[in-house]
Amino acid sequence: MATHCRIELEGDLTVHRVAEWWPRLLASLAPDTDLSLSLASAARIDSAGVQMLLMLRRETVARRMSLRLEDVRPEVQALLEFYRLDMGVAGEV
Amino acid sequence: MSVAGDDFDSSFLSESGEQLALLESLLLQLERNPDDIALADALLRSAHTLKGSAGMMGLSAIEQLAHALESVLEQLRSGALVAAAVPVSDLLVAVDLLRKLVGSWSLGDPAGLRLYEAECLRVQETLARYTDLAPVRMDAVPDDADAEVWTLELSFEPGVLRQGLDPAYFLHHLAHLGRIVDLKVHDERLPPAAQYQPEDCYLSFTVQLETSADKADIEQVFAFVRSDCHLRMHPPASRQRALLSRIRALPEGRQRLAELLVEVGAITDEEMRRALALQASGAHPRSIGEVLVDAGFVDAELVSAAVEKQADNRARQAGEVETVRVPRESLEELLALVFNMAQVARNVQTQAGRGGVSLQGELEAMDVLAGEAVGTARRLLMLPVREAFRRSHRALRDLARELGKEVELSLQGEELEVDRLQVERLGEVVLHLLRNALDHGIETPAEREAVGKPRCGRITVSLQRDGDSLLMNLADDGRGIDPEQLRQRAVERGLLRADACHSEAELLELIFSPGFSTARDITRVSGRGVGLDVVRETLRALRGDVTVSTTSGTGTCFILRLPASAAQRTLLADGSWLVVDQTQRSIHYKAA
Repeated sequence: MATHCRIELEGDLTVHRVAEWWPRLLASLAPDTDLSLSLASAARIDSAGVQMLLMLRRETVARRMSLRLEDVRPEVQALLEFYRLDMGVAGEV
Repeated sequence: MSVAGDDFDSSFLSESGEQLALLESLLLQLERNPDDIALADALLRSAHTLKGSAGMMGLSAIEQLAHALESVLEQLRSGALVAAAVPVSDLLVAVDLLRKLVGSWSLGDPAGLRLYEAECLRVQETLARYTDLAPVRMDAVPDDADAEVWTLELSFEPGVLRQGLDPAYFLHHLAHLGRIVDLKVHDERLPPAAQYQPEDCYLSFTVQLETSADKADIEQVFAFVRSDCHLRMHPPASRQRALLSRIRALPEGRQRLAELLVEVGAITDEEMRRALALQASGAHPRSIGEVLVDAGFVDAELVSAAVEKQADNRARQAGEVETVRVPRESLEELLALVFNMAQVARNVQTQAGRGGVSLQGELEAMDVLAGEAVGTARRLLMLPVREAFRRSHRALRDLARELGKEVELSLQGEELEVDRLQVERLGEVVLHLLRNALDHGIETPAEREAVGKPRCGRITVSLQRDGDSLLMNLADDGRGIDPEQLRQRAVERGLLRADACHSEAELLELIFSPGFSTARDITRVSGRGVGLDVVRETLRALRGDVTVSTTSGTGTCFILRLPASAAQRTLLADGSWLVVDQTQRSIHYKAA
């Protein structure tokens, strides 16, 4: 049975923070895990943030993991919708 | 006083005159053959040329009206409009107005141009009904009704995100130009996790944008990031077709492929610059067309069309018939010189033959050359008679509508050539006789049917050579002239005594008397008694004449005789140019 893992990003999903988030996220990936990423603290997002989420999705799929975005703020949701991306958003803030 | 003084002005005047005459003639043909796409093509080219020249002269009123006309023609050409749905009369009205505007400008009459402002607006409104274009200035933003879906492909240099240039920002701005129908984010370029640099941009995008904007407007959205992004803009199918038509309709002259594509809006200036840079930096020589296609700046189909157009332009320029205006005196002088040369050559030939001197070969060649030179000079002086009928088709069409009649004009032998000067005078004469025939001769369709004639009247003009004269028969199948009516009218006007006896031929001669008319109603067309006397005067001034024969109920035939002009007579009769009288020769010697 898959393990559940929940990660909360404590800040924005922008080009200024992605270099900081990515190594931590990558380190937390373990095969056969259901990963929930809480974006409750992410008030802003840009294309660098979207790109990192896409990267994260690819890496989770490669590890047979599932990925869910939780507590997504409207600002973040707006860009995901603009980009027509279905990122497995489970809940909005 | 004319303002059309310098070469540029007079060149515009002459070119616009040619284009307007062409437009009118093509429109009349289109009226008869509404399905002929080649006509729409030729019309579009002509309107486009006119618009271009007016634009270069800064004549915005003419340019705008030509643009409105061109828009309708473009729709006809693309098949979006059916010719049968657009009354040719509306298009002819635009041509007439353009002619007035050009005329007013050539007279240096800016006040006159302003007088036509309201009329211009009215005509543009009429034309706009066929194209949904509001009659506004040409630089106005296109209406959303024209919106079409573009496909845009975008990728960015890795460093853009670090520079604070977020693709999302620019993509959002596209929405100002229209509606983003679809947007796809491509992440295929994302590297393996170990090589991934989160602050680098790996994403690319495909956007379906519904907009009426053009390529340059779309490119403008990315102006800030232009050097760091790769933008491919694929026009909507309809725009692609329009671009193809625009390429084909381009006026001649522009030779460089990239410039040609920029001019029609197929590529932007920036794309041209980039392609040229790519071409210059390439290891192997490539054509600019290949570079543009490879870079995704333009579709291969458009490049092919542009290449064809280029080849066409070159071919036309190589074989272009240039119209030159030369003083008549110079031509006559040239003719005299050549004539003398030929004469001398023959004399020498004769003497050489007598003395046994072996100059025969060269002299024969000289003779041939001189003969050719005479032929060339002849062509410069002559024009086909059909030129005299240029205004006739339109005039007859308009008059037939005004009078509620139907008529068909057929010309035979119009390829015969006469002196250029005679053509102009003959044009006036012919126009008058044709209008007269339709007004007085041809009956209404109902009247014709009542007497067993076809509804549509017929005017036949046949031309033939008779010695060194030109004979023109202008016959209608109308009601003919009633000599008895002529007699009564002449008696009323005191031209004939009531008890005098006159032959039918004598009575018919009355129609050439000044101020004589049998018309019951004075119309704009005829019936003012100014006309047939002028026709005869004109022909007599050209040392010709006009006579008439008629059969009551069957029709009337005017027979015009036009002798060759002095210059012509040295040249006529199958190049047997030695048939020249002493008087003419002395004139030529004098001129030489």
